[in-house]
Amino acid sequence: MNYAIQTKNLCKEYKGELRVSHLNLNIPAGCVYGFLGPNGAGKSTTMKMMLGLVKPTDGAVRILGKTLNEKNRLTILSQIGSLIESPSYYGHLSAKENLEIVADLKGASKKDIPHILETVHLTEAGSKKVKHYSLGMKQRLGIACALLGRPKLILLDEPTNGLDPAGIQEIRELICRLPKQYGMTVLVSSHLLSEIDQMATEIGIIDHGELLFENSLHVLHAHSKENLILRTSDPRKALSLLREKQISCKPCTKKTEGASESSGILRTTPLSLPMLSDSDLAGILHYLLANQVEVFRIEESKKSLEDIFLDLTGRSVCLS
Amino acid sequence: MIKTFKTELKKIKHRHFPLLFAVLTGFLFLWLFATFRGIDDAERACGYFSVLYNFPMINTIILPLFIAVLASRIWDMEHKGNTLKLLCTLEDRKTIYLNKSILGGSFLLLFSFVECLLILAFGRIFGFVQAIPTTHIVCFFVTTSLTSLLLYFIQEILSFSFDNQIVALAVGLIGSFVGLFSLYLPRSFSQFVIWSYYSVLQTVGMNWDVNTRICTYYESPLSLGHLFVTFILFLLAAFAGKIIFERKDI
Repeated sequence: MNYAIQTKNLCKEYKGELRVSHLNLNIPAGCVYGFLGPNGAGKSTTMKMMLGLVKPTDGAVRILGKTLNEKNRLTILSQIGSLIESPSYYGHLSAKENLEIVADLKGASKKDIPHILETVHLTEAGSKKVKHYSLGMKQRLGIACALLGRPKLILLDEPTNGLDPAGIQEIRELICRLPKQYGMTVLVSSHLLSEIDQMATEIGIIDHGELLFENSLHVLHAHSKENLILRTSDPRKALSLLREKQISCKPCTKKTEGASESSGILRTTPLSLPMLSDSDLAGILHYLLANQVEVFRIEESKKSLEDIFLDLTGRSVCLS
Repeated sequence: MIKTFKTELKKIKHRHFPLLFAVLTGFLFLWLFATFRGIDDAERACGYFSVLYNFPMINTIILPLFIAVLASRIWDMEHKGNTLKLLCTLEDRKTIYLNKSILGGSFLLLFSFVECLLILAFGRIFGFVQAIPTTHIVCFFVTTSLTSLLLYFIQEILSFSFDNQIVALAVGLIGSFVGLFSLYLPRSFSQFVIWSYYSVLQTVGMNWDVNTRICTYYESPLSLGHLFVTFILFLLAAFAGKIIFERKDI
């Protein structure tokens, strides 16, 4: 597979504490890669290391096939657009003048500026001083700076921070368009799972500087398959009866290391079954009743992405 | 390098640098104009020395603060718009620092040159009969420029190190006061105050006779030792600024 960015054992230590720990990211070219993690997980530090703004304590970053070092950094970065943490702008200048400065430094054509302004819906406000812009407009200007020169890769760190719902939707649509329209690879970070879910095709989840999950978003979605939750008068007996019938089921308990499965089952413990057809379910219910196991409740349950995320990170601060 | 310096010039558009420059020059002009208004023939005979004596003292009062404002305005726009993290992906840090140093340094060299022109202008306006002391004017240009550049590099370090420019401006203001105050103290003390170097390095001295109330100006040799120290400090400040900026967390 062709990767736009790969990191190998990337580490960053601040004051004796590893903020990014042995990170191995593989970001395929041409995708929108969602870099998800709670606040303080190490997303921005990782992205800064990718841009050479922060020197890694250990490990390497490979961008567009080349290993980033001090000598080739600016050559590699000339093919990258970035927006880190908050938009960069000169408030006393207009958006056009800001883009002209960035175009000069990038060696990009100034002819693209009107088109870029149109892309981020800033054409009308293009001559207005940026200090009079709303946060959303500044954010869009930051993205315009990143898009200038048609880079192959764009790094956007929390690009929807502080935007109103309409602005968030606008930025999302823009990000989703970039790979198809310009063949760009987009790395977008967020602490909001719902946001990444709507933009990304690939996802990496980071917490406490460690990569917890990396794969396609549909693989993550596959973890969220539906199942049935069954409450009975005798869960232990129900479990053995269902297993006699070759139905894979398990108690919804936290298993303690070394303890047998049945030892953790209480009278109130529900059982988890795979999704069954109506006729199969009717047969099971009849079978349980025939064996003096009363069924109190059956409900469909779907493990949400949030649940999966919480399982992975063990933190509840990042959901929305 | 030229391309990136041009962008530096574009950045200062609407930052009112020419106005700042004009206000300072106008202030200097008015100050000296008020001083020389109604001078007599005896004073015209040593008019250039009188200007060359007054200018370093006025510079000690106003230039430390002006330099602090200049450095602050050049660096503050990068703090306000969080632009350093963008710039550092487009050009190397050494270039950013160099461009800003050249920009500020150019303003200060231009200002020293304008002061030299003002000396000549006052000669014509007030009809000084003294021959133009070219060597003293050249010395004045060199010592004023060097002292200003030294102070600029120090102010630059403060301006890029602290987001809040009040620190840099406070140091500039304190520098003005300390510099002026040290002029009333013996040379052995004032030579340790870098803000007073406009006066320490001047080549015209003055004697004031309390009884006759007459000022006499005299030529004083340029202190090469102090000039050398200023030059070394200037190099150290410039180099230290580069190192600190390259290591700065962005």
